[in-house]
Amino acid sequence: MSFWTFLSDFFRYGILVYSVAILCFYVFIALYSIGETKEYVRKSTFANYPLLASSEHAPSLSILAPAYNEAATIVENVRSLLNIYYNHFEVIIINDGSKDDSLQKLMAVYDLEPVPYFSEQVIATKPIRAVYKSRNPVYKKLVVVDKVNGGKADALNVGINIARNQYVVCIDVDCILEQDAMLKLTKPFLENAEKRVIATGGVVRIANDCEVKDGKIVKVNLPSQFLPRMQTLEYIRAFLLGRMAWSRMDGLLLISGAFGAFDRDIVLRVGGYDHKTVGEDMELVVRMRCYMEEQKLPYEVAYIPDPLCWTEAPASFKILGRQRNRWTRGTIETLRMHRKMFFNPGYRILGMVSYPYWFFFEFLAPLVEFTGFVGFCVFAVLGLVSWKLFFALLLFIYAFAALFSSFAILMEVMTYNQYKKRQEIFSLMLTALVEPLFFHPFVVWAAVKGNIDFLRKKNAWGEMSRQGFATRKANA
Amino acid sequence: MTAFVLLKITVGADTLFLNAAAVLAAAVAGMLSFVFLFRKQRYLRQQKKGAVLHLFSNLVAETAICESLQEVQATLQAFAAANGKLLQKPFARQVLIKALVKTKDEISGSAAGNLQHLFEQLQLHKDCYQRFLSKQWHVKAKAIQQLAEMQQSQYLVKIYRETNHTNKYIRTEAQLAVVKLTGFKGLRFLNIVSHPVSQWQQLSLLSQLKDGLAEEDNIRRWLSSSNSTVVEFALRLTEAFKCYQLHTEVVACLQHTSAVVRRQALHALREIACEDTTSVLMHYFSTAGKEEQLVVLDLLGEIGTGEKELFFLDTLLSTNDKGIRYSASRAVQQITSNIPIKTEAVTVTSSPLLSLLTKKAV
Repeated sequence: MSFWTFLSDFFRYGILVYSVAILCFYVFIALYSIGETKEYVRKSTFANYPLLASSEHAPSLSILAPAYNEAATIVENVRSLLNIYYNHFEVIIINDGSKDDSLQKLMAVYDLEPVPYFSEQVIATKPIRAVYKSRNPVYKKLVVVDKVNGGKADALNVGINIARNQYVVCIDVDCILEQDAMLKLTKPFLENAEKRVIATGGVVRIANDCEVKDGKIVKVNLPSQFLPRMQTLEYIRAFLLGRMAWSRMDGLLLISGAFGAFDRDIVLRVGGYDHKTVGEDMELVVRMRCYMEEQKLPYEVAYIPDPLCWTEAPASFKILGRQRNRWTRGTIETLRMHRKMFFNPGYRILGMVSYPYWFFFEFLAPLVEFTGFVGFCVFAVLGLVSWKLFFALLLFIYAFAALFSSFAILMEVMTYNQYKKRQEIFSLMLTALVEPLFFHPFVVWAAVKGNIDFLRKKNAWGEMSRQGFATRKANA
Repeated sequence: MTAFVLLKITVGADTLFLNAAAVLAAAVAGMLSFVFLFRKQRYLRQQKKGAVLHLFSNLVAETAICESLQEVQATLQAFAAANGKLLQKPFARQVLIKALVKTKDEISGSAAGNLQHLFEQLQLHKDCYQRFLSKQWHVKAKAIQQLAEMQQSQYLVKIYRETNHTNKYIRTEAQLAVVKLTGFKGLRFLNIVSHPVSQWQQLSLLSQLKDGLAEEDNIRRWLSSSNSTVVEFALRLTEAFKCYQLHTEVVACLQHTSAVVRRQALHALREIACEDTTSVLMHYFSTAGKEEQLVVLDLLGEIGTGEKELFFLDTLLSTNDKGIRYSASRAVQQITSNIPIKTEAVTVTSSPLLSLLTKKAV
């Protein structure tokens, strides 16, 4: 067998096997998520959340919100955090060396003064300049930490060091939380008496075009812009199908950095967020799980399928590209750091299913797809393509993608039904048909660039400018 | 997707994929149609339910404000005369049960009694009992919840049997139901429960026991249960009902194998502290893990009153562990009171207690 024959066969059958495997996995995920969603919806009818809000025995939370150059919205965002529906909590805003007047604004509005502080520095961080608390007892739950710039992970680590409660909730300061978000996020920690719940995460939804009043979503609208609408569908698919299935398998590797709660003790034991990676949210969850597996401690990472947190999605290709580039680099870094788990039965489902899935179908998929596309172009130029077969396959894959998205829409309508208007459902369906043609290729390209940037050892987050909810409201 | 198309595979594959694509396209069309069908059906169901609920809301409201059971009877008769057939329909009866349960949960006193009377008069408990017999866990658990909310004590024995059910939701609803129906006595399921009682369930049970009287003999028994979650709950009861008589048993829990129990015991000691408590805590400190040591120091700060605590804390002010040193100095500050603590206090290594006391004296 010549080298070229081998290469040709490898290409032909390797990609065929890979494609069949990925399609099978998608089908499995879609079907497997149904049971979990059904079960959750039933279970949630028995949950008396107000009980937790009013109980003096409810656990205390430390809400950590890092802020970097957020002066435009910081005051409103902090107000929104202070108004959440929960009793025992403190809000720790970590000003990560902002160059704007975020701190001054906070000091003026919340009447802050520097206070003596103690931080054991279990996790090494950049120095803290000062800790502020309000003179006004109304804001007694607010703590503002001013520190030297060190990135999001470093800021969160400062918050974890300073936090005084058993559970830390890490959120993006510009996110909008549902009123009962903390109750729902906390419940899993109390529910499981047999396993230690080390982290919980909820669904993040796209808030573009939603009506916001006093830091709350008052009306949910489907984004009118092309990119946010595409991402809406993408998030529905990821959160309602993907994570639901992984949660059922107990193989969840990712809790969104935008909103997640963690057992502080375990976070400290594993050394907090790793500031060397841009995918710190995923890396922390993987490290915590690794630790529990190695210690042979029974544990659980819980997932709440209710929409708990709303965030603004990038509306331009430039910003979206940066975001996806960063996500790709974060995935590669995390997989690289924890490569010992790859098909390692010692890590059970984590090593045998979750890690390989992320390796083959999250990390490799864009590369395989891109290579396939380049190969296709070459073969097309050389006249080696069977066009009949090409169009048949193209139609098949396109129909499969549309079916998967349609199923996600169906699940959304049958469960949380956030988009009430008929035209919004039509629009979502249209999105499902358009997405594989326009949005998906761009995401693949951004991931390929992420791989290139990873090889070039690029470690930057990339500027993520946002319009801000307050600004939009003012303009409206 | 483009990866597939690189080379010629087998003859006839194109037809196969075209057929498969056609099937998938039909499935997409079917699914999208189903989305609209489902929405339409849900809308109609909600309309129907809304109309029925509107009728029943008036009945529930009128019943709640009745001043006697005879008046309730008269209200019901008047309603039945106009809507007799509706009351026979299972769907409508379910809507009424839900409306009654929801309203009863929000009110108390004679109004709640009226609703209970209405529930019994319409024999709605039989509907609930039928659902109680269901094999589906969520149907059964909901029925238990409804029977308990409507104070249907005649089903107590049947519900009690489910308090150790293998299904977590049936079990927890049954446990809550017996406590709702009989108060503190309902907790006797703790004698037999072999499954863990989650912290969530413990909070739910405590919220039902707000007004009751504690039975210390039972709590004492549960404090030595082999089920560590029962011990944990017993400690919460000790804390909530301030059972000073159980001090010895609570102290014994500090030696429990479960860290959660030990921590809960420390919390309970805060509420039932007596003269000996600080001595016990200081003795316990040397054997405890760091997390518990920090809790002990907090406790000493809160309940410590005398020199012995201060001298014990003094020995800790020069340890290498910054966390312990800080907590110890904070405890000293609390005991001596009104001495403002500063960051520097943590780094002071020579005679810190003396330094603090001197500051106070000044």
